Amino acid sequence: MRTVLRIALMVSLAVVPAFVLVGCQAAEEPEPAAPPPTEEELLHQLASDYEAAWAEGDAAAIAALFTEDGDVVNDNGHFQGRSAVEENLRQGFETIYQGTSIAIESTSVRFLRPDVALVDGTYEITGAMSPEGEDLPAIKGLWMGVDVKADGKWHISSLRPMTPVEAPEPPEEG
Amino acid sequence: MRKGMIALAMLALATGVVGLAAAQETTDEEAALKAIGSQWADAWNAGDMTAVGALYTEDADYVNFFGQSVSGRAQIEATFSEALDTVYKGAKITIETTAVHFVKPDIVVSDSEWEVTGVPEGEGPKIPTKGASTAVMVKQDGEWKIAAHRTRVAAAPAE
Repeated sequence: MRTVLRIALMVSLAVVPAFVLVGCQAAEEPEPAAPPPTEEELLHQLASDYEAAWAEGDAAAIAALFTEDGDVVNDNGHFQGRSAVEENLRQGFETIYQGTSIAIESTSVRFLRPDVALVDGTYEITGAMSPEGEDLPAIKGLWMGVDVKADGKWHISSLRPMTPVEAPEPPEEG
Repeated sequence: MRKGMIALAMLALATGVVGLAAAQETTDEEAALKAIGSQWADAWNAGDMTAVGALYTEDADYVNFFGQSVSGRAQIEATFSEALDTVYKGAKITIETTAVHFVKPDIVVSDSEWEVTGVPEGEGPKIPTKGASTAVMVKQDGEWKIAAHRTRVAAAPAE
């Protein structure tokens, strides 16, 4: 462990002067263009776009993040295709999800092919109210998405949210 | 209900656009993919964890209905083996694949319903005995393998 720290320190000491040198050179040359976003960043952007559209209660905008044949399976059923996904969301926004926010985290990204990513994450929906106007607890869960890239843009091909059940306490020994 | 019928009718129309030859090929693939659920059940019911493991890719991952995850074929085998030795001891599973969604010709998302019977009566909290599952499957050397497997239990009982 100590060796690792020492190596890290040596590397950082070596890198600092290198940055200073690079910095001097860059000053004489035109401003370098920002590096293109990585695939991971583009996939995170997809989640951010989902959050932003949700905040507007915009079912069509969320559905547009799916492929034409994209699907969702949730506790209400299996929604196949963009229009079915949109209709399910629209019903949600008219009822339980009205005025809510969603926070989406992507916890792992695995590429099955360069243009197909398996993404896992968590979600938390807050701000839900009962029909009587009482605050409801946050709805939390996990999700798995299969995203595909076409024409330079990632879309959701399948989305599977789920609410984990509470694990029982491990049985006592003896 | 009527909405469901309309959706089905629209789906049928959309499906009709697909070429007949391609449709036939897809149907054969679908049948092969749907059979994997029962192969999984047969292997688990026989206590043959090597056969269960063989249905997964080497780097597959699994997340159960508690949200606990494991990675790699060996870990997945160990997880199901332990479940069959403990909470599901002596139990039998049936798996019915209800839908197969082609992401690419060599990648599908397959959805199933599962039910376990003969779970031992324990003193502790009851273990779920029915739920749904999703498998992301990839075609490797002509064979479909599970790359990612997720199980879940419906949050609320059906109305």
